[in-house]
Amino acid sequence: MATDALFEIQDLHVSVEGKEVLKGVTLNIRPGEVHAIMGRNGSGKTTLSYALMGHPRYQITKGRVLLGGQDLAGLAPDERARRRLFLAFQYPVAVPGVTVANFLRSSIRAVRGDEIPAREVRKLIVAEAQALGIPDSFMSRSLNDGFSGGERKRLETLQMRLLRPRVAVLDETDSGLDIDALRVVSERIESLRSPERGVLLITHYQRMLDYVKPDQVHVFLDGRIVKSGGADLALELEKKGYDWLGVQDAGMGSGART
Amino acid sequence: MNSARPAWLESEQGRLKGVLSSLALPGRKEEGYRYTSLKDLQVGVAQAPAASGSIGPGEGAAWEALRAQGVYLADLLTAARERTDSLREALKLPRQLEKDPFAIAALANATAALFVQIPAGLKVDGVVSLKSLHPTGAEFPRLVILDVGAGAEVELIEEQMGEEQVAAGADGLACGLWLVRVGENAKARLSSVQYWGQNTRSFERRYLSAAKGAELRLLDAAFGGSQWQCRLETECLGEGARIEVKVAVRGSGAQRFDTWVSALHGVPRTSSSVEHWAAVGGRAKSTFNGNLVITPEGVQTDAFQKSRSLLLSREAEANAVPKLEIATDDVKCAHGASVSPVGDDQLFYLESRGIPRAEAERMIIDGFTEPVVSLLPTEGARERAMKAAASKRGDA
Repeated sequence: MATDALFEIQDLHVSVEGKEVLKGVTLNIRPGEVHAIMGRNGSGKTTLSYALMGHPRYQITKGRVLLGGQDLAGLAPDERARRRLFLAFQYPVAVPGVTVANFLRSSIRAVRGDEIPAREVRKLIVAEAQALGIPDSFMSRSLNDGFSGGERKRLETLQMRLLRPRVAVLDETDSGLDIDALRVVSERIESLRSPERGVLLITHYQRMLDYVKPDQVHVFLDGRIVKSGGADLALELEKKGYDWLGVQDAGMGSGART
Repeated sequence: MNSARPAWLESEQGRLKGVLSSLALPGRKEEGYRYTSLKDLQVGVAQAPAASGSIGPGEGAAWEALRAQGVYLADLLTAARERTDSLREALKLPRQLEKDPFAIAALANATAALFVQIPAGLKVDGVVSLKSLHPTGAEFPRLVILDVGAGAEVELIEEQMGEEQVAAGADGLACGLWLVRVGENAKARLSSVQYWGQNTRSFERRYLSAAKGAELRLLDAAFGGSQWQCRLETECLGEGARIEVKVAVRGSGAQRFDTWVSALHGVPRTSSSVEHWAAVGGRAKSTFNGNLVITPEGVQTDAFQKSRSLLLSREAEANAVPKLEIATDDVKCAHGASVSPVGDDQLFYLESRGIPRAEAERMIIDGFTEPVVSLLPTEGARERAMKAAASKRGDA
């Protein structure tokens, strides 16, 4: 196994309520790399993202996940977040009564501790929100409550910017965004690319990859990676769909190339 | 005190006492009382109501400073002598409450009563802050009348205290009535926070009307007492009037909360919004009775009602009964209700942002009082309310 990997997913098997959904996923992300996972609905992409973040309903039955060489097994989601793993949700959950401002302050304090002086936190939030076109009135609204799909995705992107993760898993952050919003959000994601950070970008479509260039593209089918390649693979998928892979590569098993 | 009571007031209150004695208390079959028991309750029978029950200044602007600005602030008897005509008008019960025994009891028997008048055009500097004290287990009828003149602006809060003063085991009955009329293009921001003693049964009645172009916002938070039924009757009287109501209750033990809100739109182009938040633990119970009424004249009404309840224990209970009576098609209305425990997915979402589970849970629960508490007009009021909410965490 590569020792220079920032984020290692090793032969990951995950069950949900007794049913195996992930059937051996292996993936290594080196510092500075962006990996994209593409696949059909129901292929297990979101299960992967939840399992990585430590959702208690997603049982890891085999394999392991390492961040910076440290095994995440047994760590609660908040502990994973404090180790700077971030998940942008496909469907961000509404939390009525908890304002966006209160939530952002609490999460920044929890993840970044004293890194930012308290008096600077608000300034930082305002500046990042402005860059994403999020109006100030958002801050007093209940978290994700009554938000449009696009508003939720902008807010997920804002959180990623504010929490400065080492590894960010973005689960269909492009869905629900119109073309202009997609560009703005993608640019904010792309600008976070750094030699210390890794990004795992889950998407249905090639369009986000026009802005956030992946180093590797992986095709996900039936709970496993069936093919990996460079950025061109996404273009090929856009043209040809997934059927040709299902037939040709179904027997590849878990041996994803990274 | 009675010797100073003007004949007209004596006569009016006497008439109301007569009405009260002829009224039977509502039974559980009546719509507004389906979830509120009046068992063992006697209203208006106290011959010598507790004289020590009072409405006094809270921590906002000093009353003298308010008076110096032109605000009229006086007890009922003083106002009856000094502002006879306007008080007589203001004391009229709106038709919605004409047969409500608790409204009548408060009006007929008020031992503590305050008349607040804001002259037309006056933008009051500072918060009109009232503190009501219910120091014994006796019946405590109280009355707050607020008249806001055209174009005036005012912010008022009443905090109802009793928690420390009422001895355990001493039953009390608090009947409170607010009669609020906001004039044309005036703005009123009103708050009520209830901390009655643990054995107090409380029946609050509030009538809130907004004239043409007026804006009225009411925040109502309730933490105390064994039983609290708050009936809010709002009415938009002129075009462009807007009434916004936000209610939060936080229940524990065996408390009973019943929030009953009726919003009446009988003229064109008015709007209202009602938000109800309830978090109940222990064996506590919360009910929301929402009633939106739009008459045929109420075209282009924009109205919204939403009730959300959070159950913090298996024994806690919440009911939401939203009702709509809409007699015209040209309206925009939205309503909804939810009752649920703290959601696993909500916890996971907050945890995924580094917030430990216990803190995440606390944030979600506090989120059911914060939409009201965070808007209270004074820092002290916000702190007391947050403390009251926090004191109930052990009973989640």
